[in-house]
Amino acid sequence: MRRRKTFAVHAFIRVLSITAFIAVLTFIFTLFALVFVKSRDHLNVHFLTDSPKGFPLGSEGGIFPAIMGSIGFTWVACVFSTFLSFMTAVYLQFYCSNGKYKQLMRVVIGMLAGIPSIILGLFGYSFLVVRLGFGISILSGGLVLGLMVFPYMTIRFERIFTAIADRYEAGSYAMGVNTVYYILHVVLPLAWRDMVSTMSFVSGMAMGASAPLLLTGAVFYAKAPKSLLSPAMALPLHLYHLLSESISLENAFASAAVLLLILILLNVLTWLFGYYGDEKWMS
Amino acid sequence: MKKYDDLNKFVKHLSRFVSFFVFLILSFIVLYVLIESVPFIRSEFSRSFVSLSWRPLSTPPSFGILPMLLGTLYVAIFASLIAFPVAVGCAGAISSCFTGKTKHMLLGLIDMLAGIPSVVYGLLGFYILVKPLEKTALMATGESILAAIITLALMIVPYMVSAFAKAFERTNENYQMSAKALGVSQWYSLTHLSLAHCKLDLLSGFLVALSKALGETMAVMMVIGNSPLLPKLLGKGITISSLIALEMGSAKLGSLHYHALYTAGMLLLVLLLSINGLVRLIERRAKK
Repeated sequence: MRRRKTFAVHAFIRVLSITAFIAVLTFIFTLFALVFVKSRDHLNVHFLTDSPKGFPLGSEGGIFPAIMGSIGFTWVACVFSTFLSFMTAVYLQFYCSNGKYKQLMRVVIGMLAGIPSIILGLFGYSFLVVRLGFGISILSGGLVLGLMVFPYMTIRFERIFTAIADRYEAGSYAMGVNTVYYILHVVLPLAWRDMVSTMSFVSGMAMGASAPLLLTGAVFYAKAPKSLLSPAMALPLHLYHLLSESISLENAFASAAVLLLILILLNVLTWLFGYYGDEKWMS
Repeated sequence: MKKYDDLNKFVKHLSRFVSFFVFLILSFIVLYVLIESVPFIRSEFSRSFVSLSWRPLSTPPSFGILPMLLGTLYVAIFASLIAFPVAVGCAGAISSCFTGKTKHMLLGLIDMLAGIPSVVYGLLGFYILVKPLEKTALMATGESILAAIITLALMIVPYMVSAFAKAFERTNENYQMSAKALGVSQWYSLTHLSLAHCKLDLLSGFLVALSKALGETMAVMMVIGNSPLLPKLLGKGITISSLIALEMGSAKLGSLHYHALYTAGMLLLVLLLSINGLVRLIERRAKK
């Protein structure tokens, strides 16, 4: 009786696994196929280089300002969050000798990762946009996005630094160099590839995020941004407007295809540059 | 070497300051949300918070959060429950059928799936769920809790798969030799070794995905219909995050409506941070 039950569980798990695996693969395939097939007729050079046109706005023309806006937001987010993450990771890995403080920072970083993006957007709206007077702009949107990606970046940076420290730290200190010499001449030459990989990973995240931008930076229509304080369009939100106001399903699919293409590009970059942050290397 | 000594001191203090700044930012965000919701909690309408009608602009206004709260919980919990078996199965298949490069590539594919923007999932949900549902006679419009649940489930499967695959991988590393030496097949060791050994990891992966689902805004907002009704499987609904996203732009700064939205946000924040704490506890126990 017991053996039969054991076998039943075993068989059930096996069938479940194979079905689930095939289902997930099918889903991935369907997702990409659907988006690219649906946008086949609309995705061309004009779509990438034109402004939205037609009535209602967006039913014709392209998405050039939205692409530029997204790049702007992502750039600000990347610069802000790279600075914060690099400094935090350097402090925690190389300077901090207080175990309690390290523990506290880990909890803080985990909690930041747990805050939903819409709450960050809410905070950005009241504090950055209204209280500090940045207005609806690339700067406020980018800062909020930076806060959103900061924990992921810091965790990756720390992992890279730990992997390098395991190999070279004892040797370097034995040569009598101080910490900043070690960071500049041993860690950075080894780590820059992985840091670029992390940045492109994080850019992918920031590029696709829409909830934080809804209240802080993105508008329905704007020209390609000229300064940090100008409002801009963002690609994911453009897609959202096209769909929710039923302006054009085809253009929504074409925008989705552009988003996916950018994402694939950033993924390839992440993969090309990744080395030490890779878990395979660690084990 | 004097130059490096000075630089060392500078970098040390700068990085200490920045890491402390990060700590300040987090406390500031949490405090800000709390402080902005105080005026509503102290106002005379705060009692209407636990009611069913959300009419912020009528006189007297009423700020019943229950439909949103129940909608959020309903959608997120059911989506995670649907995603869980699929993710366990998929992670199990990846960890026991494939090795080396193929496995690495499959996990990379899953990670990429997790990185797909939520609006794309929303678009997909709209196209493959809402449109066909509109044609059935079950409901008036296709936008419904059902569509939201399925869209959200599709979205969180990759998070769960990559968490579970990591847990299975760790078990494999520790026990694969012994299992093979005893002549146990890969599938048998998946059922009776990995699954039994990773119970706590499965639980924490589930909770992390649940918290993602609770906080998700765009994908849900695009398919749920956004009307403050009590959640029914085939009816429209709304979640806390989509309420904030939709109404914050039009709420007057400093009005009761604005502070009520902040209170809703605080509710969501408290919910998510407590799940986060729970995950931390579970992971600490799993390490022992």
